[in-house]
Amino acid sequence: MIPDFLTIAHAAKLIQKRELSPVELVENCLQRIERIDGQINSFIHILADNARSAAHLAEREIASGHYRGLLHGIPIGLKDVYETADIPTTCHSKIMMNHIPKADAQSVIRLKQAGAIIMGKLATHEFAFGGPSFDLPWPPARNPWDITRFTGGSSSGTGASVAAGLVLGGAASDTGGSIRTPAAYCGVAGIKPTFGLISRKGILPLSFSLDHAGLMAWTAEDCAILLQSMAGFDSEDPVSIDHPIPDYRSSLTGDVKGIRVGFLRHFYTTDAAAANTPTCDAIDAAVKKLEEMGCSVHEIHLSPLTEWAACGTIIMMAEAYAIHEANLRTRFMDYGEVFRNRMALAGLITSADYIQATRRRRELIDEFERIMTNFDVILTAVVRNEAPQIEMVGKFSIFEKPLLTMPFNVTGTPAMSVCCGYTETGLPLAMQIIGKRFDDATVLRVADAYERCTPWRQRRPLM
Amino acid sequence: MEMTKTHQELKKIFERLGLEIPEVELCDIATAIKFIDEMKNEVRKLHCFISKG
Repeated sequence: MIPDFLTIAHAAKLIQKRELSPVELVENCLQRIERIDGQINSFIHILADNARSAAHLAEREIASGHYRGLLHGIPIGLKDVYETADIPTTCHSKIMMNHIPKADAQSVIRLKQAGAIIMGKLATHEFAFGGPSFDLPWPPARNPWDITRFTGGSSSGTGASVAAGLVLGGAASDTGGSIRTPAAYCGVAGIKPTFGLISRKGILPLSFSLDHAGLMAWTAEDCAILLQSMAGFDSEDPVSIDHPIPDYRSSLTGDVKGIRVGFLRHFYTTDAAAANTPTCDAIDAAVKKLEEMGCSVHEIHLSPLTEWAACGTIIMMAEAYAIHEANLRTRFMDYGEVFRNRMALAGLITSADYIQATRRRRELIDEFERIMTNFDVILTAVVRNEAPQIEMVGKFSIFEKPLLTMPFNVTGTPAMSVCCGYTETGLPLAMQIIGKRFDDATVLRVADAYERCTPWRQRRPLM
Repeated sequence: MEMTKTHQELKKIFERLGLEIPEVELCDIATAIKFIDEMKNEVRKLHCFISKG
């Protein structure tokens, strides 16, 4: 009997010892998808036959002594912005319904080479920007902790499917918080790695200078395993950076003594809108826990959140408009209402606005790098509250309050959402851990150590 | 629906951009312009005429 919820690390250990068959694991996931996904709509395309074939191949390889590593035989999902050869890649949009790529995205190639089993293509907000939407060819994903609640976005299907245990991990993307927000609302771990660490070749873009490829899983350790296989230089991605890739999992020592934490409280307390009491209390408790574990924590101050968020949002919208301009002119009504109305606003951004935002970005990055000379990681909120009712999320909701996640797309530094508790009604709460460029390992190390010292990873949604 | 002058101006801007937006959505978009204007002000306000950018 296979447990409904397995982490990648645990499943890998069992597969390696041949106590768990990839074929059985994949069948178990397919049965869960069949039983549960009708409630949460996390999949756009279920690739059952492909997954079964890949699982049989993995089983044969492992049986013959060709174990590829910790992802061998592990079922994962892909946000439907990752191109997949001969399989539709739609961006959850009518505009792309007939798009069947000829090749896999570079990061998908890497995941397959590591032996991961692709279970299917996962829901997203339309073109990773417009959602939740109810007028697209597929319904929006729903939160496994409470299906009346929002998953967050845009990697909505990745967050929901990992939380529900339909896959053990998933590939996602993050332009202004699209990994960290659904990770927070769905109670999973999600990392937006350093800009340029994972190739974006074959990932359909939203914003050239802010898009980050990344991933989600149940634990920080699982994120480290996924990142290990996805990270690496790609000469065919113009923003890929040739930087040594450390062994992320070996950095998870459980020891954070002496780690210097900058506590960025004003972003979610006094700047713009304040977070609710459960969120503030959970983050305060997490800070206390990290201090008990040996971290030194000091409150820090950066420019107000509104400036960071404005800078990133102006850049994101202008770049997205450039990508969609032709289709907006000829197929405006083929987009969902949320996407097309948000993009109409993007049409009002001038070249001067974009250039001013780009200039401001350099100043903000300088400011961030200066403060990081004194700290190893920064800690702040991901979102201001638990997942809201999905019906209550407005068409222009992303503009109403400055995004707490956007500053770290502006800086391009690694940023991770980590579950740090639950509300009285059982909805997940989260904190955000941010590191220096290419020091993703320290972010994962702090997240992993925190997870090991707290009970939050032991609770799963009741589906 | 009778459109205000602002809406008419907005409609002309979108026509110049080549976007054919339904009237009812135009009204929604008009209410959200304030968010964009606020962000534009944020990215402009701290810039001196000559900066290192």
